Amino acid sequence: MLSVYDGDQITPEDAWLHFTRDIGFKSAGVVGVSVAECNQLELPVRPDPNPFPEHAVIDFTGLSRGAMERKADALKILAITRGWLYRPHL
Amino acid sequence: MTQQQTMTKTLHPLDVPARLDEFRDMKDGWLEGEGMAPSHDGLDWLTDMFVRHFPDNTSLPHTYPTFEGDIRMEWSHGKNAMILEINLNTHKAEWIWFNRDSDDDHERMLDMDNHQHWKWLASEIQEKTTAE
Repeated sequence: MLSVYDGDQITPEDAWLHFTRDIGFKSAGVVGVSVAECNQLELPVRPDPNPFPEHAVIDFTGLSRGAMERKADALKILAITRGWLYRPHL
Repeated sequence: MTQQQTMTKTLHPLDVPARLDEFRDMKDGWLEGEGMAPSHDGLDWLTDMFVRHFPDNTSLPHTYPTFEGDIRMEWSHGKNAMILEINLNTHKAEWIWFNRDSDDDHERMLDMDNHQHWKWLASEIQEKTTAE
């Protein structure tokens, strides 16, 4: 499972503030992929509002190690190509 | 008057021993409250093996800690993606290569105490990073 924020419910900047200020983790910035891109890679996406309302997961369950790496690599390239959605002012 | 000469050596941004050294400051819980820190013994072992067995003329990887306290190395060259996940306790590693443009892939377990396996690894990386 890959934890993500649902971009229909929260902006990249607010997601970064939630992740760093509200729950206290470290983050260099926000990148993103679309549900359509996940669907194209046959990766299910679903809401998982248990930890907080805007939380969702991209589901890698049941894939072989090689298939998981291949799909993760494709997602990473999509996100890098799209570029930063938010970066904090340092 | 004597001329003072200063010798400086610039580290490669992907320098593996330097990167492994950075991981010594990690603490358990480093990944969002979870995630094990790599053991210092394991980092010592891997640094020594890497320096002794990884040839200078071979592309360096991006090096990361894993959730389980192990080490992940990644090489990317065009269509070729390569991953090596090294277990610092067992000294075994999982090698994964795949071609981004086709269904071709290969997975193999390696014994990182075996210098022949390091030779095989270097040869694979050299082949895949000089292709195209």
